[in-house]
Amino acid sequence: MHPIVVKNVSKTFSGRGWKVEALKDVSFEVRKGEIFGLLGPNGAGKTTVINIILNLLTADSGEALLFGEKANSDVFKSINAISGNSQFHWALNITEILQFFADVYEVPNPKKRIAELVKLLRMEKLMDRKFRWLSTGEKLRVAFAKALINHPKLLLMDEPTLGLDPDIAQHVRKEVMRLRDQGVTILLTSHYMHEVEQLCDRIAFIYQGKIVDVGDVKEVKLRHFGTYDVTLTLDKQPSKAFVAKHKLTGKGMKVHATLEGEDALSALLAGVHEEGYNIRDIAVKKPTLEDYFIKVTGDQR
Amino acid sequence: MKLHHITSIMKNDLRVLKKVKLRMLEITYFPLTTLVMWGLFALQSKQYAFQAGLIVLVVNLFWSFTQLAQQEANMFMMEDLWTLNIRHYFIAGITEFEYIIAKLTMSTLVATMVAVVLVTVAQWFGAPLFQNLPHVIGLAGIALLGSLALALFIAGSVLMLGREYAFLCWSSLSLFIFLSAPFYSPSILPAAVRWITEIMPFTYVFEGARAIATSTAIPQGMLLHAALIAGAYFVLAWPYYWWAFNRARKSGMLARIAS
Repeated sequence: MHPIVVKNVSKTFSGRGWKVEALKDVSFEVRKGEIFGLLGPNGAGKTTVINIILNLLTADSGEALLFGEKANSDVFKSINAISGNSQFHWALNITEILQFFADVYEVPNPKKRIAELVKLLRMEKLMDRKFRWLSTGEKLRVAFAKALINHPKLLLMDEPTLGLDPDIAQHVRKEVMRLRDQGVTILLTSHYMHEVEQLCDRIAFIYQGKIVDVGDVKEVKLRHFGTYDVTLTLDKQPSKAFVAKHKLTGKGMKVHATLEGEDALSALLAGVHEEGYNIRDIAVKKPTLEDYFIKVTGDQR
Repeated sequence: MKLHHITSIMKNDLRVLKKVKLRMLEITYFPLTTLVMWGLFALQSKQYAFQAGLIVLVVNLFWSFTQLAQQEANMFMMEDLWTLNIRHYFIAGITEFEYIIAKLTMSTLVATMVAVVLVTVAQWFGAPLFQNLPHVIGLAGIALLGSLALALFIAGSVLMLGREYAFLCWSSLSLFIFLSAPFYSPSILPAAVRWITEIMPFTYVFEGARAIATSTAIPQGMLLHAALIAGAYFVLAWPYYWWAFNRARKSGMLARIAS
């Protein structure tokens, strides 16, 4: 049973004289133990999907299931969520905030759990401070502590590193990977492609409310690019037969190849070795998720 | 319905009350000073129309209690909307009913505690409240029912319309005051609006308050009638709140006000 199944979900927002189709027949599943990235430009519908999963928003049609069930009080006990702009009551200190959520989630031995989280997220100096006096990074650590307080099996993270300094963002990413290693399933939305590439096992790309691609990161990149751009500098000029065989371009000792996937790259390198050439320099340009994002967004436009 | 969800919210609201001391000022200072002001007026009026002074005093006491019970329920909710805390509640599996029950219970506790002080002060100024304690408690219960019903209507409306409509928390009760005939008998009003007065949740509470102030007997039938009207508001308020909450969830307003 998948932690999240989104089936044929559609949602339209409307008012007097306006109508926006926010989601159009969106379907995907998040598998147990994976980090699943939901990508897309601003206004694509990422947060709308998360809100529907969290039952803060009702879909017009279709359904979102959590561990095979519709959202209900019991299923929420093993879920938590965090967003980049998570806020808590400004007047309460961090101990009080975490105590409240420990109560709500009926955490056994709450003091011990809070102490564990304080140590894990290095919050020792924050505990007596009111939420209003924390910096953005410190607020995010509190949001993380709240999100982990119930040992969630599923964590929904909406832009968790938005606006953070690079070192704090890196710390958050390490934390996300640590959670995945512990078996927590994570649904992540992010604008930062390198972050998604670093963290996610699979992604879905959403554009203007439609899922245009879903699969593992490498697979979806190759689906759209299918190529590696390779530049080789050899120790001598390659023979015409070798150039023709491997469809190389370029002049002299510097040649280029556009290859379909990793197997083709291996075949080229093996050929170079068999012909007795030595490689002086090699540059392989793999498509990044950012290339993918720009291409898919461009294609859809 | 999970009791620990309700008690957790209430405990948290108590923590907030303890931390935001100016909220305590709002809860105690304003009703108390208003009552003292009218108590002094009642003392002054001993020279010419003491009963008129007592009417103003006792009606104000009930009015303050009504206002406090309604406003505090809505203010405890607004705190969550202003601080964007409300999102965490609903994704923790707290239902809309557990949430609002916690807020109504908190406001009932706060209003009741303040009411005890107000009754004592009014008694000191000469209002015969202790002598009529069963009626005072009965009328307070009816007033509370009406206030909580109104709080439910307002909570649903604010969730449905958005944070920008927070002013409803302070202004809605004023809509009722004129037609609830606080200091005068409904018979003074033109016949065209008198029927509205008769279906207002607080009309009979004020009529009872005037009777207590003037040591006039309160007909038992009137109390029952008042309880039925306030009860009807209370019963109708729940489906409205549920409908408004779900409308907010459908329109996207719930997600919007929670983030």
